[in-house]
Amino acid sequence: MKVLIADDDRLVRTMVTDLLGELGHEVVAAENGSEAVALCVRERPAVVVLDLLMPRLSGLDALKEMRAFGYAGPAILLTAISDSSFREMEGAEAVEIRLDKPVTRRGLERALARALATR
Amino acid sequence: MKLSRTLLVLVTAASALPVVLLGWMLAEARGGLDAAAAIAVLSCLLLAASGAALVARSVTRPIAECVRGALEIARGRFGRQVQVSARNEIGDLAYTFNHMSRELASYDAENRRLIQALEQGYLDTIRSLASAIDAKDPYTRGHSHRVAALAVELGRELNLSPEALQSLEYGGVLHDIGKIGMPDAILSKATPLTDAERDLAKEHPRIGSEIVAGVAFLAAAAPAIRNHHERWDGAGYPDGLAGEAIPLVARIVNAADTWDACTSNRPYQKAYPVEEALAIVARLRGTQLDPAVHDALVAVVRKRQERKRARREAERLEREARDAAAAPAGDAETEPAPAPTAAGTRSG
Repeated sequence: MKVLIADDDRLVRTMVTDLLGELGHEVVAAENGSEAVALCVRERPAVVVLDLLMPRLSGLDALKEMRAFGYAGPAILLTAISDSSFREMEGAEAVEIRLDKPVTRRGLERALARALATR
Repeated sequence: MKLSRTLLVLVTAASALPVVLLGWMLAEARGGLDAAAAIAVLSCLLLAASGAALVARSVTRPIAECVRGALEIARGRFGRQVQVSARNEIGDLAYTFNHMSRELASYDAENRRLIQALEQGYLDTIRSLASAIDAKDPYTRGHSHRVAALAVELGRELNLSPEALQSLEYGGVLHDIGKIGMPDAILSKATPLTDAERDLAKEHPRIGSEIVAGVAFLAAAAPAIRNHHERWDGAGYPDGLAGEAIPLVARIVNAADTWDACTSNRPYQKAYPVEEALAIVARLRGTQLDPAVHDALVAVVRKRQERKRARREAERLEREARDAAAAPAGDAETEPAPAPTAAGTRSG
């Protein structure tokens, strides 16, 4: 399965990429929101994992653009903020699954399983 | 919200504890509580809980509002203001936050203005560069600008991204920049070129792309310049690319260049009327021109004709209205209709 990961933090990006690789997925990585949108259009991933706060375009706004470009797959949002603050944000309802930072192997596995179950 | 729960529990516990303790001691001493004492303890508990709820709300509500505003700014929506009227430290936080947000919004607007001015400056510079090539040959005056304008229109028709439209504009304006090194005798020669002359002339796309290669903001235009003489069937130059292998921007500039060559006077030919030019490019569809780009060209040409017709019609109405207004009062009264129509068309 092809997974798109977008995070401006190189460490998080590398770690999630490695974890996804170990889980047997093909990974494409972007380092900001607009790059993620371009990559999503080109690579057609099965699942996208987006950081909430990234330069140029936030994860929520990037997801909105991806949907406008026809991406219909599930979205996992990486955040370090509490759920109640997140739910207040405009566009938060479009997100199926939230994954709290710091990312753990089990958390990621569980989020991916839930992402696949929603489709 | 976690903070509000914590506050609720803490404040309730702190304020209710003495009453509970007192009630317990009373029950010990008297061997049970009478109804009045029980009601007093319970109502104290209730009061403590509602007071705690009030405290929790007054602290967490403004904080939540600040968090909301901070998240909006973090996702790039500068200028967002938070509504907090408390006259305490949280109020100060909100006040400074709003000030910071306004400042960020104004820096952002200033940056956008500067970028726009910078890009306009770039464009003016390359336009004057292109005019230098056009000036070498009276027949091609304005050619670069017309090709750029048409290429951008074609790009819009094909729903290309703003970045692609920008490279079409730059690429269109500069597509013949390589001719700057060509002898004038070749450029404006009315008779067929010799083989040696043709070989030299065929070098201009390569030379042009090399000229812009070193300029960062023109890098995206380089493919349009280098490959604007490639043909869909692969018989073009300099790289002999075919079909989708030719960069799309180059295919578009090629079509715009061909169209402008057909519809303007050249040393070797007079300008063709639109319908004849359309017949010519229709024959090139699939051989020289990308079929999709050709179809976009036809659509754009038809739209241009439509706009021209509408403009002529508007001018005619305006002229009629002017004539009617200038005519003696008696005539104007018998025919008052055209004036508002003309005004309406023009503003529309």
